[in-house]
Amino acid sequence: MYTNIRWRKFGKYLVKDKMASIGIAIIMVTIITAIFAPLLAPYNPNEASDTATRLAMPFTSGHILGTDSQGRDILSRLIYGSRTSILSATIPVIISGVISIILGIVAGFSKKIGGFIMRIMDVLFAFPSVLLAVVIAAILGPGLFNVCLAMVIVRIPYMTRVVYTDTVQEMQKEYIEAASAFGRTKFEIMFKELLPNVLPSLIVYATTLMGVTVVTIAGLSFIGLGIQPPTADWGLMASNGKNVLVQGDPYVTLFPGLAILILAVAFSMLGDWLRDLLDPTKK
Amino acid sequence: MTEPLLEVKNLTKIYGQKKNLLRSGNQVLAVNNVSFTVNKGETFGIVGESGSGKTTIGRMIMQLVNHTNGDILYKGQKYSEFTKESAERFKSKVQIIFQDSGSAFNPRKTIGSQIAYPLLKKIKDRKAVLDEVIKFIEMVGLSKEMAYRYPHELSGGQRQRAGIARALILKPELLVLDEPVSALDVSVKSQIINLLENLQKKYNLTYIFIAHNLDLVAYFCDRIAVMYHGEIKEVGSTKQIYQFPHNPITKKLLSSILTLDGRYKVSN
Amino acid sequence: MRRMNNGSTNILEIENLTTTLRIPGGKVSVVEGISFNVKAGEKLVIVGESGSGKSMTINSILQMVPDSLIDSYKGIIKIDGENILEMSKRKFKDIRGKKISLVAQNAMTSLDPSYKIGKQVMEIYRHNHKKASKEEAKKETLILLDKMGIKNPEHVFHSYPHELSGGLRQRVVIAMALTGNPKLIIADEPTSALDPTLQLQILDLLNEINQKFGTSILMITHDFGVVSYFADRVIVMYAGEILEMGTVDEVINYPLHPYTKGLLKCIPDLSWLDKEDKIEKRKLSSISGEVPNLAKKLTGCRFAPRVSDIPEDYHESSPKMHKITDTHWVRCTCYQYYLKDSIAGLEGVK
Repeated sequence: MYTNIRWRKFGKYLVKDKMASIGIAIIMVTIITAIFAPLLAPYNPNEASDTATRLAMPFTSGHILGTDSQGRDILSRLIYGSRTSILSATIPVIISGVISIILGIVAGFSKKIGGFIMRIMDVLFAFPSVLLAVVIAAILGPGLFNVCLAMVIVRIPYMTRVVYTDTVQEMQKEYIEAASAFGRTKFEIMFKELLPNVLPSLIVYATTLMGVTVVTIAGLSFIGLGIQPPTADWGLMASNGKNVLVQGDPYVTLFPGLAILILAVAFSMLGDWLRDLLDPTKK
Repeated sequence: MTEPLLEVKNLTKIYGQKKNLLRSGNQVLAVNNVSFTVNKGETFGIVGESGSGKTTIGRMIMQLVNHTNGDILYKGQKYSEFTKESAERFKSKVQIIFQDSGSAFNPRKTIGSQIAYPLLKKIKDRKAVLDEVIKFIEMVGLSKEMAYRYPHELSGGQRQRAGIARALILKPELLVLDEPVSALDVSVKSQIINLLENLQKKYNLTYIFIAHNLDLVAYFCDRIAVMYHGEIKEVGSTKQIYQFPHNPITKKLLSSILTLDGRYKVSN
Repeated sequence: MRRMNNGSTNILEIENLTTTLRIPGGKVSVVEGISFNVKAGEKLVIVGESGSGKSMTINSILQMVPDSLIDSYKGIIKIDGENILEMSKRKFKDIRGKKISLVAQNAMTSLDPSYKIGKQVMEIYRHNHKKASKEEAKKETLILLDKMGIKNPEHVFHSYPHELSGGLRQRVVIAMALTGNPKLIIADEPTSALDPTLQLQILDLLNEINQKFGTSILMITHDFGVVSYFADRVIVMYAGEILEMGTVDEVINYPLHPYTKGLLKCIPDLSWLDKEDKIEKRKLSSISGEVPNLAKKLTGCRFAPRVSDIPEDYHESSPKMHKITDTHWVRCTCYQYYLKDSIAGLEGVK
């Protein structure tokens, strides 16, 4: 019965909410592209083809989106780049989300442990997140895995604070007291009563962060701490294009930039939709 | 005949921490040296304005808040001397109905599942639990489809009925009613009061009725304690309190009752 | 603060007001075809349960329904002879505060927690008196606070809202409502969040304002106790309609609509407490069912589903207001049925 209602709502929502459908469609397309990249890409993303000219304009022969300063096909690089983008956007956020929800709920539930956890978070907060990411990535060394790990650490304080604030707010409500009066254990109160009430806003926040994370990782790649060339990555591509931006070839930056933007917006549309879906007061 | 079910002796509650090196002391005396006895089968009213400590007493009886000093005895046994087993047994015998039915239910869980969970701890057979939940939901005057609804889909009165079903499902002996009707509309209010009265007869329940005004208390309670600033100022049978109030606080509360013929007239 | 008090003029005239809101998937009329007047110097109380439309009535008068919700107002709302529904927003802003003002249910919603009381009252005062200097405003504010029965106005003037008790805050809010010498104060359940002893004090204060300054008061409440203590006239609302209207005496002592009767019986009777021991308390009666959901289209008599003791043929398909006396009106044909068993009551009315 319970699941029935959820699934019916799921379908109903998707039809009703056009923005959400667009967002999900974009993400689905990106994922499919990432999986089938070798089949879809017309050229090898990391090598210039023999016939290619450097900085070919879009819609020139064989290169729909043109080529970059090394003569590589931009479309093919975009298709391959979706792999790192979708992975580096989702996985660090999901991992830090899981850690944060536990930390945040425990901190909000128990004043003693909460003080301790939140002080540590405050220390992490003291550093600007990009700087922190740079330091961590520099210590760990470059590479996709290390960048993702850095992103996990950097996001935890933000997400924990979101969960913590929500938890503290929910703790004031009588249903928590009711749950304890009717025999719920502390563990059950935290993860059966509080969790469904604090999760939705974290999910919304997390989906927005996914978009931001794509951009941040692109930034790290740009200063040489992230994904290493010649791997196709949207952020890396965008930063490579900056040299030719003013020379009259803005498309080298424009297309990966647009891709990042569209994916980021798609994630935030998904977030809004998920929030409504998870809210029982919205029909 | 009058067999004490719950005894409260010199109960004191201080909120906040003592002053020490790190903290400036910020203590509030919420309940000060309060004693009373609740007899089996009666309705005992605790009346006081906001901040009088009446809600804290209810919470301490429910063990939701620990008391600072004094004793609470349930059937002669001190709370402080509960074994794990007797504490478990006690928890199913004393239940509470909250004032704000809107926030007393988890907004993201169905009414039925929330009524069921106290029972699920005792009975593993889910079918039997469901039958029992439906039985109680119908007993409090709701239709069984309500079990599958979310709290916001019910009206205030319906939610309060569901709250009563949840409190009764473990077959308690003592119910703490924390202003159960003060958030409800007039016509619904009397429906709930009548339901509580019928259930009391049916299950031989003992009620502790916490309220901030005296008019419903006069109707509903057998004995009344009047609280002010954490202290009990007067305890007595309803008739005693209403006909011969002694304490000025009681008189003030009585004279603020607005009846259909204007203010309640306090004798002497 | 002086005003002529000639009892016959109407400060507020409402004719056939229908307020329609937009809701997901349609429209809903939360107030439907209501008409009433508030006379100068009168205390009129609208009583009803949640969903009765009483709050929407005052929100319509004060034009406080959010634009995103409102679909249309139909009818006439005349304040001091001017129809506000045909008035520019700017002009209405002028009327608000000077001719009518609001005392909200929760004082904290009217007060900004981050400013001192004095600053907030002065600001409203200077909004209503554009020419007033700062010193003047301060002087007037202190006088006003003093008039509100605040013992130490200077201290309250320099306090923040959270430093005051609930009763004091409500007095400050009433003072703010009075800064522009309005002819009508609209009070939205001003006492239902307060303790009973404070409720009495605030009602007494409003009463005093009414007596001293001749300010009309339109109050909404759900409590018949407040009605009997405070009101001159009563309107009983249910599901967006007026069901009964009359003087306090008429409505409380000779109610005609089954809903009014039912509501009155829901109030606990305390008289048994004064009597000999043998007298049993009267069982509390209740009205079965609940207030209907307005989102579903309602037809015919809106209260009919909750009435069981009246023969079918007494029900009217869409009842109109029937005049009983000059002041007593009821929207129900069933009253004729009830009249049979309250002939004595009717004679009292005549």
